[in-house]
Amino acid sequence: MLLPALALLLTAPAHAVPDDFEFELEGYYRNRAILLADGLFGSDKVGFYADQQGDARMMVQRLRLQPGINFQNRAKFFLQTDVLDDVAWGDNQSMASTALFAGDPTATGTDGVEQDVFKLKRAWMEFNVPVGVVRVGRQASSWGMGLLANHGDGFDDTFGENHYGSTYDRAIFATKPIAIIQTIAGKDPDPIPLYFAVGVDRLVEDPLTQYYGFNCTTSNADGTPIVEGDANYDPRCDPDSDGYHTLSHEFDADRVDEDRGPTWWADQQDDVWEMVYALIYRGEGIDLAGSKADLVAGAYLVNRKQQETASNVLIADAYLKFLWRGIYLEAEGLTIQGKTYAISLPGALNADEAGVLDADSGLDKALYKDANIWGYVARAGYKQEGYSFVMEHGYASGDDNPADAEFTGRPLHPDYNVGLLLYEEVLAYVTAATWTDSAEGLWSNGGVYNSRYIYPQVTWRPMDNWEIIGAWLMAWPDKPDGSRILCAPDDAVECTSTPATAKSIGWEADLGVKHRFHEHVLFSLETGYARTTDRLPYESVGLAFTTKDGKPVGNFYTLQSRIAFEF
Amino acid sequence: MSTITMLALLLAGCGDKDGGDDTGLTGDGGTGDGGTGDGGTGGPSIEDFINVTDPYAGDIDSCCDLVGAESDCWNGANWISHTPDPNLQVASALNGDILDFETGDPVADATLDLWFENDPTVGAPDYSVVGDGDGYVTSTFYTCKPVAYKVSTDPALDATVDTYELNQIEPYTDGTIVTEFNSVSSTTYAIIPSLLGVSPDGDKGTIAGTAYDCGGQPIEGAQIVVKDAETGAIPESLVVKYFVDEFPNRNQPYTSADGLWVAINVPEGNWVVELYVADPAGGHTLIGKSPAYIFPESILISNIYTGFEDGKRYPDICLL
Repeated sequence: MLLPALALLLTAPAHAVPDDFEFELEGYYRNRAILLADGLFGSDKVGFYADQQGDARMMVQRLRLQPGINFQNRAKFFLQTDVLDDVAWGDNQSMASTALFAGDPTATGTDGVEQDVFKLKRAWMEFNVPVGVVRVGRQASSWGMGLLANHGDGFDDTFGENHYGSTYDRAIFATKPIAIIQTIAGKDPDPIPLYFAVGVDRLVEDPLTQYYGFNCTTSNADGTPIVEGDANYDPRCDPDSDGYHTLSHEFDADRVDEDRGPTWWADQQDDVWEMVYALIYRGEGIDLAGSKADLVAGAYLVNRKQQETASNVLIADAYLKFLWRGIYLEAEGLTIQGKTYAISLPGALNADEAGVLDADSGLDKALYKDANIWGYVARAGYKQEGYSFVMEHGYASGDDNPADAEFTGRPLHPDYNVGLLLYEEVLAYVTAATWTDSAEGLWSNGGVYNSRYIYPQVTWRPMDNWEIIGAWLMAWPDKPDGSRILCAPDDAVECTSTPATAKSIGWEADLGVKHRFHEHVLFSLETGYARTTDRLPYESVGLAFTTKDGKPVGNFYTLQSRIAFEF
Repeated sequence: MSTITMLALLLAGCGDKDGGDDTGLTGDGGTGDGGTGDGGTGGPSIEDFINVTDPYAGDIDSCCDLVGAESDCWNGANWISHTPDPNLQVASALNGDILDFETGDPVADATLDLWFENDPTVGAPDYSVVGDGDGYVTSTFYTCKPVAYKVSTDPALDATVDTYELNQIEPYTDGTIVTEFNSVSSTTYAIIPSLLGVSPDGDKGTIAGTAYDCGGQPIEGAQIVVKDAETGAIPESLVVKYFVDEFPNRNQPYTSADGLWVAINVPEGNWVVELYVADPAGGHTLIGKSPAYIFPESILISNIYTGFEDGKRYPDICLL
């Protein structure tokens, strides 16, 4: 349905709209070939994954189309669609009765599931008002280096691809506050590039969560059992109608959409929404000590709330970028602070507080979580036209006990790529295998996870449109949890067992060659080798490993190639 | 704990009810008092697992009153042994449901293997049947006879882990047996260690179950340990954790009101699961045992009943 509509937009603009509309089309078509192997340069004996024979090889593709209608630069409308979004080449659903003669490829994603060929990801409008710009709709959210909010557009990573992208249903207004003040004061506004934005996001209208299930308690505040007739008595917590609450009620299953009432959308109590504030100075090409310099600095604040779960979380993110005479500095730091009763991981209950009701919200404190999450990335280096050196250091706080009342772990955004293997493949696989589908929100998806790292990078540009990049990554655990990152005796966390001996998670060496030709065609050849330590649970998650000095170690190798047409 | 203290506890619990054998000591091999580990040198000691000091909550005193208890009274040395009426151990038709252990949802297309001699180590099962898409199976089963079963699904789908249960005893009926069989999903198998901060070894297995008191209710304040069935050694890799509100909890040091426990990273082989509670003098009393056999990367559901050393507590209707 959407495809014909899009085709109509693209092919018949002159007949459908007045002449002062302009059509714009951005996007790309990319293909990426991926080889994942155990051991340097691959092995035919053991696969990347323990239950796999030989190397893993696949090719994936994505067509991104972003058409727009622009009315005199005063009002614009955009769509963003992904076609064949990370779809693997070939017929992967056995559509052909004889595989050898298969002809029509399917739309199978990298998760092995058939998906919609055409996805409408974003749609938004943008228009000028006398004192600024307003943008409304389902739109990308991006800030700074993209540790927290990352649009996931284009080809902005040194290695790897963007797969996700932050998208919000948002209404946001941006303005130049100094210019407004100067105008009110009757002065000509200076072109000071200071911007302020305020917006509102609606994240959820009505969550389908496990939260409701755990709200059954068996005792009143004075310790007496809750019986029929008590103010706290809830028949949903008494499935056998014996007059007593039970923990073994049917009320603890996931709530599904059939459970909603007909006016669910009107309920304000369960909505999750947030206010967004941003202030940024964007000085590009400014004069500094006789040279041109770039200076970007700003702060981004988000206040996220849900009344029903007494959730009130403050997210703060600061960003700085400086480039002057080749000296390059860039950094982003973020923190997430606040309280919530909304994180309902299976089994992640604070048993010490179970049955105790919060005086203000009336919620069972077993669900209480105190968010205290930190993350940052800092880069420093020297950049010239033909070469550059950059030292990068980053951190994502971890959580040694996700089931307690302290919620301290969150990976950096998965579209902020660091290397090709350690975070992107290995830890992504480990977190998915250990948290399983039931706690998908805790997967790293390739983002920097529960660790701090260093990542020096060297880039050489021997000629126009050619880049050769070398990088080396080493990562150390922040708070090992004993399941995804194993504990060592000297770790400053409480662990059930301490089988690990290494201090680091491992290291990775990457090399890439990039070339742009015909102005729009991007070619990239990337390879990486990672050696991981006994910090990882290879055997329990099914990752290939070898043994050195009686300890398991991982050897992972990848060779990847991208060819893309960008427009 | 001294044997006198232990004896006093046992006397208070059972001895004065039936005048039975008051000389019994706890445990096998002298380990019931929380003394030195019997697992050989260098391995974990029993104190690593049995160290509860809080009093238990449950009935461990009235097991002497159980119907059909053959011994004069359970006192820690003389375990209760139920003898079922052989006339009631008859083959009957079975209508069963294979359900997910965690969610209670039907498990589609699962294979149910039955060992009528209650021993899955002998090899091929006595009966094997594949359930339908709603987890429904029809088969032959026995009343009043402990039966071992295994539930599995297509390994290629990786949807479940092989789930064993010993001592499934159905009450006598002259009609069709209607019962349920448990299957543990791969998700549950992975998420429990995740929440507990444990990494399960692929060549080892998991034992989980409920600790029951004499009244058949979950017992709170008990601890379990897994020992080699022959040597009494505690496996070095063993991790034991307990549940709260039916969810695994890494900080819970003993069974909570739900009585649930889990033993992770148990090597393949024959084991005995022992159940202890604290005694008032600061020692520990062995109150129940159950044999277990672990297959790699599988889960065994094994409940422990106070007063029993074989895990076979028959329904009253089955007893002589």
